[in-house]
Amino acid sequence: MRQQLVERARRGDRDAFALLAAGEVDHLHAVARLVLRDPHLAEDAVQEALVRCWRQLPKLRDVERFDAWLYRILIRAATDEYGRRRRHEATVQAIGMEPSVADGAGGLADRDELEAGFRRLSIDHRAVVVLHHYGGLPLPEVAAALGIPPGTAKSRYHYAMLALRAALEADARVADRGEVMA
Amino acid sequence: MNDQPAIDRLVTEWLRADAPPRAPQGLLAAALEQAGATGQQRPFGGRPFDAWIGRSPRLHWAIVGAILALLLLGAVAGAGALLRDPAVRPRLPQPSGLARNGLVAYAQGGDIYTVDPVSGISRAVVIGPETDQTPVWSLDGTHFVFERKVIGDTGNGRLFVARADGSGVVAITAAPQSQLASYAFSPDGSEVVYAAGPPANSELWIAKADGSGARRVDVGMSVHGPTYRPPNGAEIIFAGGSADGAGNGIYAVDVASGTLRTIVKPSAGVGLDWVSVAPDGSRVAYSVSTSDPSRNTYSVHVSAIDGSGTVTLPMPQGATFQDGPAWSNDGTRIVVVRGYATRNQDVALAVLPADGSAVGIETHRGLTGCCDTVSAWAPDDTSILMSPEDLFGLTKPQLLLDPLTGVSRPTPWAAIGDPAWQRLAP
Repeated sequence: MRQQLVERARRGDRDAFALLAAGEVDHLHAVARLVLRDPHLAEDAVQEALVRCWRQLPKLRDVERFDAWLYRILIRAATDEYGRRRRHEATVQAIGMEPSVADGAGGLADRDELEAGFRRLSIDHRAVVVLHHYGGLPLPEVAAALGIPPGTAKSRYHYAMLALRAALEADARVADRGEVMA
Repeated sequence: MNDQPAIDRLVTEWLRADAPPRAPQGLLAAALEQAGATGQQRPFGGRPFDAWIGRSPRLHWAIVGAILALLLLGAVAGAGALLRDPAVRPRLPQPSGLARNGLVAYAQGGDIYTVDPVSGISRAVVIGPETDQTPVWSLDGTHFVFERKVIGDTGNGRLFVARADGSGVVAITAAPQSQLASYAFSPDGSEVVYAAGPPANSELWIAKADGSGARRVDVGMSVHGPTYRPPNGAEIIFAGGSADGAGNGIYAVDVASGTLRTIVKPSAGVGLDWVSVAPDGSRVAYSVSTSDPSRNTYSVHVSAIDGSGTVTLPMPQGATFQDGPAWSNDGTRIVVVRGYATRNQDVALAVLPADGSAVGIETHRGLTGCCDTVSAWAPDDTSILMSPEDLFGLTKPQLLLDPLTGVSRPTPWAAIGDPAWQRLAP
């Protein structure tokens, strides 16, 4: 059924594309939000991705690869949106944030540190982590979806996980120091 | 708690908890509205004459077709007679060494094109509903081999061979196989070697170029980047071993007997890959790396074909890695990807003497996002055709480099994908 929708949309059937997009938009939005960490950028990226999807569908020869192809379009759109955001980053940072403190609730602290560590990653590293851990794709399929060699996906993933691990460990060290001082 | 599986679980749970279950209301409608305001792109390989032919009376075209067929038959008969005369048979280049530049072949939108690199005029030579990709020329320039992915056959493909003008397409592999890679003609053009299967278990296959059969050569390991050793193709050289390249060795297998010999022994924690054999078959260049997740560690080594006399190609101060070697046709130079950062942020291409006597010349940095950048020398060695990547790992349109100055320029044609340049007799 879905494959038929892709086929029909590829041939210019707008109704088929609307049905197809309706089935994809929630997942695309979730992936974009997780990668970009910004609701407005995520919405823009999803909208742009769906427009590009419609425009470029006739070029998709192998409809079986629609999922991977769509992921690639989404991540490209997300990268573009992120690039636009970086010009405003200084303003955002100037507002400042309270440093996270050990709150006694380990899960919450971990989430804060993961968030901080994740935000330090580039979009291409974030994309690998999100497609693997949230999208459930094995790394070779992540590589195929992003159009990168499997070795590159693997090295990006390992680098990202090392960075997240370092963020968590740094947090643990701060917490330990706090306990000693107390 | 920070052991790797625990972090894996933590990241998965964190992302799942953080993911919004629904897209905001109105997002889909806005996207559809914007999409509706734009048209769809033409599929690549669309036939520009279709509409014109569709308006023409069918009877008229039947008559024209019959006349053309008769003329064609006459022309073929005449050409056949001429070709039987050795005096007018087209000269063919040697399978290695310098040659004259012919056409560049590339895939676009699932069809195969050739382009005259001087005029930039391209022509679709293999078109159809299937996805055809990655053409590779025979060493005499008369044929090319390409992969065809059949609709409905996810990820798998078959190899086909066509004449240089796209005619005479013949399947050379019987059934679709997964992850076809590194296919290359034998020097005499009678066979095509290729790897098939997942990286952890990539098999070595040889197919007859006329479609009369394919056979697996069992070498007892996973095979990467197989290629015939010039000048006679009696051996196939490949990197073999583990899936990720760590612990690979470089080997040669005798095509006739299947006898295996080791060129470079594997060592624990060392990856060997990207094997490129010198045009005279006397030396092999390859990439060496160690497992370090924090940075690229590639270096390019050149060894004699028995593994002796290894030279590490030098890097200038500040360079951090080199990768992806490709030999010039005269066997004196090697083009490599050269990085200046821990990863792929600051990458150039460099042309070095193959004996490692100098760091060579290089392009401006940022030319490519590394590391699977494929480069191919023009048959006459006057330029290098490359397929750059952006930092995101997506392939960008091909570029031409001057190997003497390092200056790059866009090609007169718009092609994305591995370079393939036809060899013609000098």
